[in-house]
Amino acid sequence: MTYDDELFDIGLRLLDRQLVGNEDELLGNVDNLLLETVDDQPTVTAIVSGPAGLGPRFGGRVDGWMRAIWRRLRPEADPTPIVIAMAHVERIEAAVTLDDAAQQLVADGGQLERWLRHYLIARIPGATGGPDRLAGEPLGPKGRASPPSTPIPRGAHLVSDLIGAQVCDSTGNDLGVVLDVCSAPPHHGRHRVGPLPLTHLLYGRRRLGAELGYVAQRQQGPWLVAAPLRAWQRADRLVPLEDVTLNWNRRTVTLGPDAA
Amino acid sequence: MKKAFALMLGVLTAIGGFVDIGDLVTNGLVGARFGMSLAWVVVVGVVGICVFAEMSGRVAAVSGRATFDLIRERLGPRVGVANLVASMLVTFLTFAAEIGGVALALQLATSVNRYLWIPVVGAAVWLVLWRVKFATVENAFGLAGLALIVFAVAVWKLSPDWSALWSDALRPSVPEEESLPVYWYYAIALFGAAMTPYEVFFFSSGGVEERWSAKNLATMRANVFVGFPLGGLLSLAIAAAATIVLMPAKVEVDSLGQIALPVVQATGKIGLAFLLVGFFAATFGAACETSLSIGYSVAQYFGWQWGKFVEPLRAARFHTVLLLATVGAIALLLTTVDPIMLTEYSVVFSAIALPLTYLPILIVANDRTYLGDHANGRVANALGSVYLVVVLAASVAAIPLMLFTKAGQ
Repeated sequence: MTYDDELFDIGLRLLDRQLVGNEDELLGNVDNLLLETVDDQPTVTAIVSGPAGLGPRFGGRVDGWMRAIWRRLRPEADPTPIVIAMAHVERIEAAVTLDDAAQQLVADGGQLERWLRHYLIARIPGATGGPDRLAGEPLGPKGRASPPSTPIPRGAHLVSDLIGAQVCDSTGNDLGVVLDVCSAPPHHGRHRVGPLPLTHLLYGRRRLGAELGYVAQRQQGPWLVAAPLRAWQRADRLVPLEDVTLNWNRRTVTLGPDAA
Repeated sequence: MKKAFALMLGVLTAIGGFVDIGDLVTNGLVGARFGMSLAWVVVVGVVGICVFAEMSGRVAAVSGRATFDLIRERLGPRVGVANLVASMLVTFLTFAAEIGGVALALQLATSVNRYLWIPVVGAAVWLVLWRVKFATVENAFGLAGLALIVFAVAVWKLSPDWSALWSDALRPSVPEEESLPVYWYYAIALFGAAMTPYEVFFFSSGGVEERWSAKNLATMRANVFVGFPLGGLLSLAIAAAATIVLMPAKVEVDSLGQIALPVVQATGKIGLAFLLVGFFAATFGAACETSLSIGYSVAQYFGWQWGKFVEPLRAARFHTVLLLATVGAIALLLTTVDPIMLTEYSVVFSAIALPLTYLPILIVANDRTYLGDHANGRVANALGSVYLVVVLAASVAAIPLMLFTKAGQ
């Protein structure tokens, strides 16, 4: 398997990173990613933050609970999650930096923070808030949610539907699960990051340890950790996305005859 | 001049801040039962915390990301949440033990029952977290904690048989009346007391609070490599004082008062005054550190705004976690659980939980996309790997030993 510097591991380099504003405000995590088909290619178009994105990463009952609590905290009848288009992402480094518009959107969407601020923390003597950098970030008790963020478009999927999906070859043999997806590296210039078209997919039978990054980075030490993990994951395979067929409804990925 | 002063202050607070209720109780207890035969564990533990804290401090300074942020990023949400629950249970136990320790110190000083002090202490800790600046908390309690140097003075004034102490420490053997499993059980407890996970949560998040950058690496390393070992010497002084006075008298340490005995015997009232200040500052400072660690870690897992560098209303969820943790710790202590026993368990559970935080830090400290040229070099990796084995061994052995020895009886 070759894994050169031309690939950017979405699971390793983007998922679960901290979202920060331009002045290091902590805004949330990259809990999930939105995938849309652009020019016939699955593309990361947006970041989903908050319980509505985190829940599906857990799946099962935890997902149900997390989203139910989140819904009850929202004032709207049918709340939409915090979705930040990749066009608002300025940099992807140790943290993911968002622009001011996205920061505003996240601040408006954080209902738990708002509720606790209003009903608990603001009532304790000595609670101060400091000056507002952005115009509308509501600190006062009457702060109301501004219009909800972008609704999830039809035909979009979450990256958590793809990572963990079952992989089989064209004859139906089970080959494991999707461990990570890759795109070309985002360019860091004057421009925003923008959508990231997926190019490759990493699969294997062993999910445990796949997030630690020892498959992607051949040089990373120390030997005591790296050697056993690389041996454990030696069967992981990277395939170009054009060689596979995605079935979103059944959460399966079928490899074409050339890929296996 | 100003720089030298800042460096000095950092090292001094690192010394004073090193010792907490876990070190006080475990070193006193071990000194009274095993003499200096477990001193080597303190050395192993101190080198371990230096290796571990330097890595997490370096990652925090270079990338701006604190420990639990990295744990979530590297382990993902599922394993991350399991890690969070385990690490926070241990840190919460430690937090309760620290508040209990402050109450015991105040009981020693005032003879007012500790159950009356516990709610007062809890409220005072919360008030400090709510209103006092981060640097003030760290410096004030760190410096006042230096009063514990009175243990070293006491050891010197007791004019012990130095060569016997040395040979005891350099050629460790299990005392006749103790069994080998119990010896190892206390070795793990002592190791856990020196290397509690909360120290790393606090150290790295504190670096972010103080806005460290790659420029501060030298200062950070001075704090770690000078401050922590001197703090470790303080721990050894506690053990030595107990060895000299309590061991011959066959005292079974189950209160803070017994740990104070050697100091009182050697230095009298003035020593006792220093000791009480030191007890209070060390445990109160550590209570602030542990509760902040809980708030930091929970907020970092979820990506919430945290920290005392923002106004409270900007970090409402973080302050809510601090408030709940404090209320919870007071409630736990008011069940009349013995704080000394709580401390003994918390240090052993710390040893069990160590790999959970240690492994992700070791991995990220090797990740060049985070650290560039500041990634682990050969020495850091060699030491890091050795300690990975040590930490895993201590973690795996702790529960069987605890069950087999009935928690060291």
